Amino acid sequence: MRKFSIGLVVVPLLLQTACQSQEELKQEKYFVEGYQLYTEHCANCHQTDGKGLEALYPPISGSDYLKNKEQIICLIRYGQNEPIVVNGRSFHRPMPANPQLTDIDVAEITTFLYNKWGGESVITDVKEVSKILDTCRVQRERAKVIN
Amino acid sequence: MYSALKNSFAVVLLGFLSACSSSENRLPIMGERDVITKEVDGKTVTDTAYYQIPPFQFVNQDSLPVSDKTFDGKIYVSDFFFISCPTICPKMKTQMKRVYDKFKGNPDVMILSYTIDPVHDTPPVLKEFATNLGVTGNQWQFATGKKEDIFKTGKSYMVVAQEDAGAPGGLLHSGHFVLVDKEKHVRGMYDGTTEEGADKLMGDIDRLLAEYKKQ
Repeated sequence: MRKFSIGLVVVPLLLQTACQSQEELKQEKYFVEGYQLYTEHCANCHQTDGKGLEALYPPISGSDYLKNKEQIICLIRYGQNEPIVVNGRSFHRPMPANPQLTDIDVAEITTFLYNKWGGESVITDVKEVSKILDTCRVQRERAKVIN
Repeated sequence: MYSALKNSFAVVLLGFLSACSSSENRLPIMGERDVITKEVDGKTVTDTAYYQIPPFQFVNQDSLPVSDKTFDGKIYVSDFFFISCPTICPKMKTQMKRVYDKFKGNPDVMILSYTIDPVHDTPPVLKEFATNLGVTGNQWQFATGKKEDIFKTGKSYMVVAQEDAGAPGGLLHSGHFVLVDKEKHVRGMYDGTTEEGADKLMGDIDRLLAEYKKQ
């Protein structure tokens, strides 16, 4: 009987932690893989600490441009050819596109950026990212037709 | 005969001693060397001819000539890069900027970055890049010119700089920083893409400066 009652307490506790850690695991996976992808594809210019380099490459850490999350998701994949103003400073070197990054890659990088430097503590889910990427792909194709 | 032998022993011993002390304090001289025999005051002497960076002539970020003469009497660090390079160049420029900041204003130290993409990296483009990097004055020279000449100069620094369709940006180049002394001898090669490489270089520049102070 005593064993039974312990089981009653322990089993729901285990279930609870299992649930929690699945969420946590997903976030950790996004963050860690996002960090690795950031190191590989972004840190050369934006630096490991996200501070950028002088007037050549804009900072991400402490950047007021982080408020444009949809644009950031788009430019990670499609690059940035127009000048960009970050913290009142204009940067006009183009950022190359990264067509090799998949939707999940972009979602993980975005999660890393916003967890590390954007004050967020949740993931940017790949479903959300796929929608945004679709939208900007269509916009870009339209822009190309007009030009 | 005996005294001659004794003398030569002394000379050899001295040679060993100086060899020891030099290997401790002096940086090595890199590249191929020749033993040359020449006549001085009617006596035949042998000397070692160390490899030297051959003369070159390019144009810098201010559209002014930059040549080997620009670096006469200077210690300098050289590298090869191109502005639109998405891979190792930003890392190299991050590290070279640290070197620049450390030796900024030192009249004995200069930096020379050759672009291997002269069609895009014209003097005005290099000037804008330098300014955006926070580089002013002429301590850090950015050289551009004919592509073949730059590739040839790359070989003279014992580094790779060439076209390669398989490389990102279509150009392939080494990530090395090359340290050259006032006699145009190559005194060190460093990994320009890492902090450790740049740290080692900065330490060796200090050592090299100390060598000249002793003279």
